[in-house]
Amino acid sequence: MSRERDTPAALVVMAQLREGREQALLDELAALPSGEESPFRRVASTHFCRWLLIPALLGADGEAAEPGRAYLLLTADFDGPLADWVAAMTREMGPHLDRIFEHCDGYRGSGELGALTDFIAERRVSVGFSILSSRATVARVRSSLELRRALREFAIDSQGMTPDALRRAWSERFGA
Amino acid sequence: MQRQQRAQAVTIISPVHRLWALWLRATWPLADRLAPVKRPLLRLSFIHFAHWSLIERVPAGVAGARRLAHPYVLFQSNFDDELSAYIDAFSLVVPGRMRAMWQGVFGFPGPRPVDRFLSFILARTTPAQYYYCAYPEASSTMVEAALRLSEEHRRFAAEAAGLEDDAFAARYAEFLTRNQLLL
Repeated sequence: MSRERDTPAALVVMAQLREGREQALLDELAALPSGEESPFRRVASTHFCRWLLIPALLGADGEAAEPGRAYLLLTADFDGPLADWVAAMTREMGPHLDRIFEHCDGYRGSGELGALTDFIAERRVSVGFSILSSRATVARVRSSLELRRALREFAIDSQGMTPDALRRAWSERFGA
Repeated sequence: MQRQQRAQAVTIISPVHRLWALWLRATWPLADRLAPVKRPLLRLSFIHFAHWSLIERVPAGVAGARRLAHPYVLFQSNFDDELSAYIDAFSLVVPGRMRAMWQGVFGFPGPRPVDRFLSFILARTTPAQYYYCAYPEASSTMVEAALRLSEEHRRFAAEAAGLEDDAFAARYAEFLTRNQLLL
């Protein structure tokens, strides 16, 4: 497995909304399933993702700044590379992407991967400085959390066992 | 800011003096590679992922796109605990780094006193309408502990494979003692 594939990557996309689409976009985001039902659950390399509406950029004194438009911000942390993540998003949640991004200028649908990749590339904001608590993949984080839970349970359940019973229980639980 | 179990999202977008944008653009490439710059932030141990960006044009990736009147600093973080505790820690533990990031943002009051800094942050926070976390039950500390424990478990399993029952039990007790803070 390549280092790039193992390493989390960040994506920031800021797309200008079409005029008057703010409420329709908010409705669409509110309707997107969350938690265990989130379509991002199927894009298995996703660590974190958020969508938010920026009603307007504000100037130095808090006034609405030119060009006075609203923006959709998509940011995500995922196990790289970007092309694989975008392809997985298209495959697993293409209709959701279409219903959200159709409110943005220049969106041509997720049906053509090249067009979606171009749309993202043209609106991608570079990340300048990052803090990452770990570089583990989503799969490794999840399996490690599950193992930690199992070891904690085993430590409690195995209290007072004789050595042979402990060994047998360990082998049954952890296979070694 | 939106809460989904342990991890939360915060997003802040603020206009910044153009000279400060130049400073950030010049210093970030090196700072992003220097572990000593990041270590105090990582030691806070409630950040999963945090990113700082500069936005100077929209659309950002198109040559000749419209230049904004001011550059904007975009800060986003996935973190545990409450936002006020997060900002408290930034203010108290790494005030110098906060200045190095935010000093050129319009209206930045400095990292101390923390109440003013927190008000500044809250006034510039944009709520997330949608937030997803792949492991919402886990804090950043839990993830780090689990990853370290996973390595310890792999080593223990390899070492213990050929041991007799009594030796296995003794070795297991050592494993538990050594890693009890990770469980």
